[in-house]
Amino acid sequence: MADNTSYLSPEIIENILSRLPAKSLLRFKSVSKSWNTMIADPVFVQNHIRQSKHSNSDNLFLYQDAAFCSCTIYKLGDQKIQTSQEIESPYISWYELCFCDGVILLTDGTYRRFVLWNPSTRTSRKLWHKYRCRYAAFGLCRDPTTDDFKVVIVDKDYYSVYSCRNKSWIACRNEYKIEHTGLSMCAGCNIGGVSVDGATYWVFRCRNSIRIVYYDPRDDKFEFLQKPEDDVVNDNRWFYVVELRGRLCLYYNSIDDESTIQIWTKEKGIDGNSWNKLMTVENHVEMSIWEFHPLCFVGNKIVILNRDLRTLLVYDPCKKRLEDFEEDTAEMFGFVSVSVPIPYVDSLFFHTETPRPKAKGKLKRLR
Amino acid sequence: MAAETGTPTTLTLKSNDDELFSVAESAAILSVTIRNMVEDGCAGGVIPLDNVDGKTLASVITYMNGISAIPADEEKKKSYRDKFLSDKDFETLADMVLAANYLNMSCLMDAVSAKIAQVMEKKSVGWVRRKFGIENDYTPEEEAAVKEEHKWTFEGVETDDDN
Repeated sequence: MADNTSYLSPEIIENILSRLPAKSLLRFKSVSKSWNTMIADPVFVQNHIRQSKHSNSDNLFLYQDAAFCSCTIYKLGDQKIQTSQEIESPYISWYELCFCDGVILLTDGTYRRFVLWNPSTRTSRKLWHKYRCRYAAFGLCRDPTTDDFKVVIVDKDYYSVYSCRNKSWIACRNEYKIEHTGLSMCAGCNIGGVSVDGATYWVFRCRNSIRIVYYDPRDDKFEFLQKPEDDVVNDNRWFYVVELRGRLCLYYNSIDDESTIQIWTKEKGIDGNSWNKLMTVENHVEMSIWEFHPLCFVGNKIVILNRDLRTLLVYDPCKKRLEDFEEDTAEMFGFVSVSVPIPYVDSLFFHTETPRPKAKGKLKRLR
Repeated sequence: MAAETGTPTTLTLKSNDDELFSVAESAAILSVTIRNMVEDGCAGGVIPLDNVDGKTLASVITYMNGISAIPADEEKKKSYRDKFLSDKDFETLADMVLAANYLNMSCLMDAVSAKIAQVMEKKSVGWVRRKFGIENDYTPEEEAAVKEEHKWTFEGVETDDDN
């Protein structure tokens, strides 16, 4: 510390600050120059996101409601939903494509103009893509080794990667393993990939089988992921992937029994390929597998969104029952047809970027 | 250890203002610093804790006894910690975080740091400077520029109650 009266060491102060929301941290940049430097430090930004994902037992979800021009953060609990806060969204009529670590990728519908928006710092970064990519699949990931955010656009015969660090696009045609396999043609069902462990995962039909492909930001390449060793998954029926508690989860309808849904979970890490069965959901309300969309855990229960009816349910694995929320969730979410709630993770990404030229000079010196 | 087998061992801790405290070894070894001393066999007499005053040490011992009495139930431990810290003011919390750091008690360190963060969340920049003893080294122009850059974060800040 620059002064002589501060009795707490910088390590202790950093530990305390890493538990604060982004809004408070941005305000406390005015405390002193050393606090400003500490809060802007990339290592601190990483520690902060780790801390905020670790302590996010609140299950906060952001929901943009174009009909009411509002953006609300909800706290999902056991059969309870609370409004946590309303925030201004500059992108209310834009489409959400995918999200990762508190940052959301949106397009205005042209599929050429994109924006990365972090609602917790209220900052955004605009991106222009060279071509219109209406039928592409999209991914957003944070490279775990370099901390670089990358946007991946997978079109029919090429893919492009935007690096936030280099502020540039690269287009790749060579070694494009998944060319003509149809990842870009699955628009409408899962154009936005699922970000886990720094990679992005998509499920798609490849010739006659349903497969999982992932983009690895470490080498900008695509790989196929082994599915669980299970007859049903290998029977080529459709399955879905989501992220739950920081792990990639896969789920599908049992083949012999339409009234149950199997959920599997992959081991942590991009290179971990083993699957474990997480649970069997007794789907007594006969929700179709398309409608069934797990959002988060509450204790050992799972909050499920019914994508068709726009209602929330809680699955209790002990009682083996799907239960309704106390609130009328259809009333809250019923007006919007496409978007699903997006996990709200407090993070400091991009906060140093500002349109004012003066501050940009400061950023360069810091890095 | 001097104690016979079967009887709970008691340690004597001494604060930097020479207060003596008796505490069960099973509770005291929540502190990695104390556990290392016990394992190295240098806890036979009085254990001097040069960086902790009597008031703070009394509080830490209350915590050690309270938390070690709870069986392995993370929910219950968490609610004990919340209750234990609920009525503590900033100065007490700051002393406790220093003590937890010195005694190497990660669970207390995490809980107190989280509590301090919770107390700070809606506070003003001036409050933080005073409580942390930090000198403002910005020129008025620089400070105005940093504030202007993050103007929206000053909405909803509590008015200082200790001016």
